Amino acid sequence: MDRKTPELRPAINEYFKDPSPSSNLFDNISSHAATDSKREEPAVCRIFQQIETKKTDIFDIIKPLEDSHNNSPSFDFREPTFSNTGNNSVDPMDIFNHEYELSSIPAEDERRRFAWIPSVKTKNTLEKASQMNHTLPRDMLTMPGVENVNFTVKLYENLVSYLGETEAAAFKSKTIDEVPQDEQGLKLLIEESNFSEALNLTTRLLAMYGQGPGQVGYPSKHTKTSLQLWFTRFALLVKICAWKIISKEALAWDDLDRPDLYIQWYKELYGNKYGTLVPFSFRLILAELPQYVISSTNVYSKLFEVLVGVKKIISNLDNGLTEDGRNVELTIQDRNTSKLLWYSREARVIHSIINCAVNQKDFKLAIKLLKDLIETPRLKYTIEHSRSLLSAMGRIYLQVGDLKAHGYFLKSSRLKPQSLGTLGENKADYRELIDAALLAIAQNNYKEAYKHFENAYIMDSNKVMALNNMATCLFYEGQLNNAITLLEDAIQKFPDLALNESLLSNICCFYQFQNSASNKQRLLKYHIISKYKNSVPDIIN
Amino acid sequence: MTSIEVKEVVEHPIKLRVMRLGKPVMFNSKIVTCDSKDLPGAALNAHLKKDVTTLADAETLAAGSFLMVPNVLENLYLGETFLCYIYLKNESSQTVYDIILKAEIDTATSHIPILGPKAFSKLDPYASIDVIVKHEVKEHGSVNKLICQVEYDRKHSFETIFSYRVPKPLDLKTKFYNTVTDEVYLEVQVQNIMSTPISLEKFILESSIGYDVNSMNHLLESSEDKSIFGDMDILDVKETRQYMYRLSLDKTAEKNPTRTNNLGKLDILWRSNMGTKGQIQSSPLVRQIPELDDITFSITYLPDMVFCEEQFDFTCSIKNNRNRDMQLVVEVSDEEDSNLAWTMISGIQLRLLPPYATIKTVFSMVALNHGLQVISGIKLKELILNRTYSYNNFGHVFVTQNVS
Repeated sequence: MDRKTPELRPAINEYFKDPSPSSNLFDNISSHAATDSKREEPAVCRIFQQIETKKTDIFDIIKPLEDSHNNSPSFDFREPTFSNTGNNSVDPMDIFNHEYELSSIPAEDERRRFAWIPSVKTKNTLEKASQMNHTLPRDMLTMPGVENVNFTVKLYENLVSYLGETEAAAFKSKTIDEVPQDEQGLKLLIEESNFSEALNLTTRLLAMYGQGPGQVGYPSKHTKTSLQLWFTRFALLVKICAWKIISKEALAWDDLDRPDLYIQWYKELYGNKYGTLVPFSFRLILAELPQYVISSTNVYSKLFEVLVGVKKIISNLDNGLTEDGRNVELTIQDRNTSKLLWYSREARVIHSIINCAVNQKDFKLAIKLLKDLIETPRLKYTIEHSRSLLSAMGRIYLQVGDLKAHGYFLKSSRLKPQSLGTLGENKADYRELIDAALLAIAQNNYKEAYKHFENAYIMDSNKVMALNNMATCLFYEGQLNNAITLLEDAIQKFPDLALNESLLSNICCFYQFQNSASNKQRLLKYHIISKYKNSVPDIIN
Repeated sequence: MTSIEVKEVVEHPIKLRVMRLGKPVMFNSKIVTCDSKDLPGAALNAHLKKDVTTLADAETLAAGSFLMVPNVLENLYLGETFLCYIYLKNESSQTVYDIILKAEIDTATSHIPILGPKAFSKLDPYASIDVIVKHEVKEHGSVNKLICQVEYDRKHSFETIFSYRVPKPLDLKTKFYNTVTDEVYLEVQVQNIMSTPISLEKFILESSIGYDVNSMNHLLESSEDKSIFGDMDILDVKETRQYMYRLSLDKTAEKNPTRTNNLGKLDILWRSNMGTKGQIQSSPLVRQIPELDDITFSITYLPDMVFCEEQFDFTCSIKNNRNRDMQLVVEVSDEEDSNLAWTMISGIQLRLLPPYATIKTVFSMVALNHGLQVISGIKLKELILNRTYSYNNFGHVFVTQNVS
């Protein structure tokens, strides 16, 4: 079953053969799934991850140090055992370079991460009082509660009925009752992509805080842990596109600015500390929501509010104050680390605004913001990140049909590191091939695009995307059957990566058009597996 | 799937399916990240990293390159290309012989054959014939149809009809301003009435023979033709742009070109999603020819600024618009409150002006006061038909003090 390279252009009659029996397919899937367990450490999207101390990754500067493990108040941070960055060499995936000496004192780290500036009204309340000596009126309380929804989908039984016990076993992930009923268990479920069960566990755990089903509108207690649970729940709801539920649950949180969400409100618990209980990523998710809710009037306002907050913090740091504007001495290392963190958060928020703008087809705004990120970076980007930004710019231009995209793709090419080895002096790299292919499609040259994607496929990068895009090109060239074969190939070779909403949407479209009975069977299986695997929204209908 | 129209014709062993193709779109998953100290740890970021739709090294930007055949198609607009997948499949276990496939576009006014008739000697069981047809849409309206006809086995035939609407992409409004010197200013408003933002790749006025075009849509003080609309050629949904052109009679052309009322036409090329191209030409831009006076009197040279109490000259051109000779006498007279005074003899007789000829005359004045002053007080007396033409308030000069 292990073909070396895909038969990219087989003789035409090969495509007219009866499709390979599905048992083969699933043998292949299960064997692949077995090897999947030795996952690699996610090296990328370091936004808000952490790294080894003195290295140069802005998105990772919040890494806990060895000795900080036990101090981490809420979560016992488990060092990933599959780490492949054991050596201290610079991780090529780092997005920013910097020359600062960084701080690694856990207490400082907490302050930096949870710093936030309360609104004037909230600030007044917080200065005058705390939980010890004051009771907030109801309208100043944050009183969330989860919607009464059970996310359990009995898909595993379906899977067994389609695949049989043995093959289905490879896909079996833990159920809610097979994991510890705490954050660790929740983490396990998320790592297995069992989002439905993970959501159910958040329901259970939040009920213990008096924020379970039916408890919205009743006063309850907030802690860092409860906020982390809420963040996790929202992140998962976004992943499964449960917009109705999430927008209902979001109402109680309002602007995340009520006094009971600030650390200084709980003097008896946190002593003389300042900051918010709300994880920054939670703030961002809530700000991103309006674009997914049809009734929204201004999809940007919350995002820009967050951006303004971040900018205020940066300006406080620049002016020798703490993040939230208090006049307290910080060490240079501490201040620099904080700046890095908040610059990275600023970039992250701007990314979100750009995504929102693209989603709204507001290309002018997206282009302006991205141009600003490219031309006036707050920190030094790695070459790869710079190239990605330029590629992104080109792609946004292409979406509005502007062939000036080409200029950005060229700029990205020029940044290519000069060939390190002997070969490939003028050979296009993966990124160049993809960009060239997209441009060819814009010019209706699907043949050329196919060639570029094919060359990209040979390189060891996102092969599923290359295959999918090759299939798409074939389809536009009138080769429906070949397109289908390629996509089936992709599923066979990379079941774990390929069985997702996007690729299924394509294969679904092709199958429908081809309209043969065997396809429907296979499509159903793909759906069940991928749905079980990823909780993707139902697109079969 | 709105893009698929399937006409099942049950009794035929071969079936025809038709799908209009729009450009592929780039799909992006929802992006969720967190600090690695947050509860989900590295899991969310790992999911994002692994996701095949993201852009490596900038995963938090939704700018991946995962292509998807669009589920919902954009409208097809006038000027764009109709692209269609025709899929003919033998769904029986019998070989079908002598297949003839034909496709044509049927609009309100015309039938345009776009495929065939194409003959295939046979179609094996479960095999297919795949054809992509293209057609540039030159007519808007709601009654456009793609009609595909299939004949097989020399006796059977059926047809599939795929209808589609073709709305107008752009709304064009024009306004003309005629000047006495026979120039025309043209104002064009173009509005994007499509459902998607576009980029205007080309927007030019192609003038008719006899007219010179001066595009007034670039910044004057820029070295390289910088558009007044900025760097981006993007025209958002419902956004309007206003272009301005000055058309003058081509001076190199024959002396007295027949005045045409067709100024030219607009040539517009745009692109939208992933380079979807559209191109239209406007119908001829026709202006109302203004009724010409007997004489066209216009300034050809006048200093912007003159010094107080110093004489200055200006030049006017006088054109005979009639098919007869004119014998003109120039009279100048000082207006009562005028701050300008004539410093020339009144009553000069010009040489005989033949039909359609032009003569240039120099006038001299002196400024008596500072500020912006109006020139008035010229009369042309035509001796043959004994008519008088008066010209007042036809020019301005700015008068300043000579400090040197």
